[in-house]
Amino acid sequence: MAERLSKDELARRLSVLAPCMAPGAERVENLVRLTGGASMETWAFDAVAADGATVPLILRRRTRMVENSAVSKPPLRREAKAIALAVAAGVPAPIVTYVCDENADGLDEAYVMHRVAGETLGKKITSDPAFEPARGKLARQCGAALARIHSVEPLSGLDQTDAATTLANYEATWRATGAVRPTIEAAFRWLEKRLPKEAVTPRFVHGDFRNGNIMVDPNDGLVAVLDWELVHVGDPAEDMGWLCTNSWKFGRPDRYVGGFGDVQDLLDGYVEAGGEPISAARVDFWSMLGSLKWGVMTMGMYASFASDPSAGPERGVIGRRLSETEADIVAIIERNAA
Amino acid sequence: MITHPTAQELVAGVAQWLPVDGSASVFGLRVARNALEIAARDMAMSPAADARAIERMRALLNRDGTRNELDEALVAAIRSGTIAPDEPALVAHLKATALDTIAIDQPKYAHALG
Repeated sequence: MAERLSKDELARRLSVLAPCMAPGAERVENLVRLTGGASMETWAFDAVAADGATVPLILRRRTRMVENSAVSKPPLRREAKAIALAVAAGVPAPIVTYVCDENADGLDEAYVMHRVAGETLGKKITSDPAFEPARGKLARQCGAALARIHSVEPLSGLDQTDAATTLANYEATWRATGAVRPTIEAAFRWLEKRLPKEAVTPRFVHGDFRNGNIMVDPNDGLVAVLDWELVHVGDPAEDMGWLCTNSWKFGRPDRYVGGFGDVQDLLDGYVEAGGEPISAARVDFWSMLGSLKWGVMTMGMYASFASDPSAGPERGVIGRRLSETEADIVAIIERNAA
Repeated sequence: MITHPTAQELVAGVAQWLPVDGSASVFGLRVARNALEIAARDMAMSPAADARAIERMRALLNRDGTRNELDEALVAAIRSGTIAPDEPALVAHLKATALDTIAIDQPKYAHALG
């Protein structure tokens, strides 16, 4: 378990490391905690040099181990390495400037990267009129970014999965929850019958590429791909399907890609950037598997709530998001039967 | 049937968390209100939704039972392949169930179900 640090103590420890994070920096200022994930802390701060020059930075730090057994998260050091490889392959992503030494720096597992300006709120990206120019190009840009991610030579030690293994892992996790939901059962059986038959070359995949985890400029579109903690080796269509999973369309189920774009633009952008062509059907398979995965993950959230209700009802409420995945699953079954 | 969490667990969870010293954040209170709203809709709407689901599943499975017994029997039938996952009568039931459930859990969710 990682050490709990007060903000002041965190600022003190970061200041000591400032010279490693930005050239000429000697202290850090404006440390602010951003809304973090379940197991990670994310902080914004500035590294400041003697002459007052500042470099805006982000600290990612692990605060507790994850309990979802269907998902194994690689160490943060490997996440930082994955980002560096993606940047080298031409993917827009924040440049990592420092990976903390777990034994010496007093920050446990953590790394520091450039802070990039842009919007990550999915709802704004799908619905704010100011983002109309971005929406016109974003699907194609996501396709290109994915092609470049999938061109990266995988790091050693990454988990390797394929559709069948993913399905089996999530089914085992689902069985362990004890929940009785016919729609989820139907989803497993439906997907099992439709596992991709074509030969799939395993690729380095992002693992959490969706609206909400990309940074977008209203006019320029894709600025940075974020949240690299689930990188692994698998079917490249997995990343595309997750981007097209309805839970991440933020009010716009009518727009197939992320609530902002068309699947043909995504596929075209992918091939234009050198990706091996992927069929829309395989993307659709993975989008359904995406709904199913998210449904199973909500049960992990419920389990966490049930084991410690005093932590607040947030994760219990997420457990009630299982029903959104059921609605989306039935929609896909129905659409394919028509 | 909606479990994981049940309405009772949601209400009890809010009560167990709710700080009486005014220290709750606006975010925390908003989540708590959402939890209570889900529980309230569940209590108001589940009896009728369960009755409708029971009726559909009795026809589908040709047997009687409680909502939970019928859900379990339906899961077993789908798992064993007795009922195919894209069988139209099953899909019709799952669709009606999904619409009833989302109306309780997340009525504002923009799902893809027509």
